[in-house]
Amino acid sequence: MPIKVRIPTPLQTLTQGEQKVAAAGRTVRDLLADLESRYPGFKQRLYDDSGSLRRFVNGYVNDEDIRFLDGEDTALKEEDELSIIPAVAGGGSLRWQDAR
Amino acid sequence: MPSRGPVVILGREQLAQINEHARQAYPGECCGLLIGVRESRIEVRGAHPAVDQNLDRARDRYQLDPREIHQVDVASEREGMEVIGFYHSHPDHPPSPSATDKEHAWPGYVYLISSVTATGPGETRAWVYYEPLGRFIERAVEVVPHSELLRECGIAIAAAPRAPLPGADGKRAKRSPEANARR
Repeated sequence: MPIKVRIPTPLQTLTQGEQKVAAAGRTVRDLLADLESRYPGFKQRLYDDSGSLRRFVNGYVNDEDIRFLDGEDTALKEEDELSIIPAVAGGGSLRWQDAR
Repeated sequence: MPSRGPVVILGREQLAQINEHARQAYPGECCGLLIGVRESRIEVRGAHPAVDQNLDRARDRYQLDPREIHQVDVASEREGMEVIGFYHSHPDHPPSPSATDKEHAWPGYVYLISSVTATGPGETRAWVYYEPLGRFIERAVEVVPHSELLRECGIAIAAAPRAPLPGADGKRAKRSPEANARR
């Protein structure tokens, strides 16, 4: 069952620049495993050493945050779309130091 | 000094919008998304002001709501664009990446940083995170009229897409349910 996966800019190096790719899976977990088999490198980027999704990686099935569904066990159906969204933060001007 | 590599082309109207956001948020930090295309050059065709989700430390931290990133990305795709980076301000400090910026950096995105003081907006500089070296590299910024950007890409619309600044209606920005859940 092909599901579209939206790839954020930082991970598009793994998909040869493609912003959207197809993968298969009945759940988000299965889908990400299939993504890894098609485009090696995703697992290392998305999962920590204990096998959990990294806390700075967010997933949306259509417009729903998977954390408010069933997490990686969220069931998928045809026409669904998974978006991988990185957490974005920064700042630090009060104790600013040049860290380039 | 900017390194060699793709120049960041920034619409004049987008720069003005970012500067205005930085001025309004002062002494706090402002943040937002950059929308555009990455081809032989990096073109910022839209700036989407966002609500800083880090209300506890809005003076020196910013955090974007991932749902907002998702929604802006989906909307951008319909226009043939994508989220290509982010902007934020450094109140009373130089427009160079801080240790916190580095800690949260992603390769591939453009990070625009604007300096702002009590007297108004200052310099804006562009940075990309180069992962193999674990450091930011500066990119040259070329500011052009937004109409010129659109003409070059064959889009025939007169005005730059512009979203209202968060809190511009005088109401305090609210943290999203997701951000609350993450706390």
